[in-house]
Amino acid sequence: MTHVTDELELYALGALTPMDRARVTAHLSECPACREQARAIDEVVQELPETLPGRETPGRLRDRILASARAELVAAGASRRDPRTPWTARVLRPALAVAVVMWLAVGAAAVVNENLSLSSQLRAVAAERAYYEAIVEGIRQGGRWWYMAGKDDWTGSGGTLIAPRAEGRPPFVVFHDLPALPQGQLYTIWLVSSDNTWVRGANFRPDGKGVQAVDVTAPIAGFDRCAVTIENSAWGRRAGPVVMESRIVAPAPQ
Amino acid sequence: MANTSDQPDDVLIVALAARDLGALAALYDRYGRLAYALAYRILGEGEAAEDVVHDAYISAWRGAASYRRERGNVRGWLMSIVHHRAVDVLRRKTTFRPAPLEAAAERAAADDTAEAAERNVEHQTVRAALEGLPQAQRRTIELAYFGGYTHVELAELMGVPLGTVKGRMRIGLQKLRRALELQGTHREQSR
Repeated sequence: MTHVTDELELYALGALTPMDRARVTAHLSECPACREQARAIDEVVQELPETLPGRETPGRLRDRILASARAELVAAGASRRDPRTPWTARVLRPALAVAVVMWLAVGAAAVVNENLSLSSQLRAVAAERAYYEAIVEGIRQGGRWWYMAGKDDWTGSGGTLIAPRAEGRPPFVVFHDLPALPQGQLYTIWLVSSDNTWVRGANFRPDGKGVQAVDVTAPIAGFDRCAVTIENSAWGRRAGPVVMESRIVAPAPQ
Repeated sequence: MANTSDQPDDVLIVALAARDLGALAALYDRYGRLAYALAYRILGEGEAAEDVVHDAYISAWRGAASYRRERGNVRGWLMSIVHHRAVDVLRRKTTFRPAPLEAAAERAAADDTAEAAERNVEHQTVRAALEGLPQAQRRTIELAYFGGYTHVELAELMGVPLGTVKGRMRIGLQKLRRALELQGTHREQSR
């Protein structure tokens, strides 16, 4: 075992390349001696932020953090109810503002109309409200977005492709009023390049909610169109009809 | 939990692992300002700093169960998450990088004077310990930690061998430790 004592200061200060950092991290996980030295150095490095002047945090930041965490709690509960659907698709990834506002106006009443006890109704409304608060919070975070209007039998439904501003967050689509599909069929989100190459971004089935968020696994950079089709298979080339689509317009140069 | 905001960090981290939103709020109230100051110092831009702090706290929320007391205190753990994320963002956005040493030094100097009156004794003591280092050691440590430079980049920027960069960091951090111990501010591992 080659010890990493020569690199522990670099490690603590974040001055290693990602590859070297990973190597040192791996070594520390199995070497108590180096780990103890690293801890002692970390103690000193962790004092460095204290040398900075105080800086007021943005007022919205606290609410934003708590909204995201709250949304995860709701999502976790939702996932337990329907383990087929990823939590990201059920909750966090925000949304089409108009659809949310419409849902908030009528959705709560719809929930209350279900045959539930009063306490169950209240809990359901609270959970659903938290769900959509998370979506609204996502909208507030900004980014770029493009709306896709449903065609033909999908008229009245639609989806908004959102490229979040925050680093490391995947693009996602927030759909509204998606019709249910027969067993064996699914919706597929495609990213289409200028040379007509279709890349599958996500497969999903509607969850029955008025608004549904779905993460797109491929980055949108380099594509100039987004489309949604109905498919019989979760892989392979596009075969089904396009039910909604939008151009993806690159931002104007600064 | 009777009053979450009064609980020590070790209690809050357990509550956080149990998905207690009150614990998350308490840890934000306790360290959010420090986290934001750190992210802002690294990125030099408010919106990016806000995103980093948000993501860091959500990461802590998700990963609280992985926190190990023996590896450091909660404050250090949180700041470590913030630091890693901020440096990652900085390295991806190369346009944020300050023009080598001069710009970084100017920014540090501006921070030196800003809001000095607000600092409490602890801040002043740590700051004094850092300022007590020889300039080359202090600058190497600051550029690595706050500037996001790798040791290879620092060697190139400062025109010194890699071994010199490592040596400055090592000796500088050793002196800093001794100074903090002498001044009695080196923290216990828990609040």
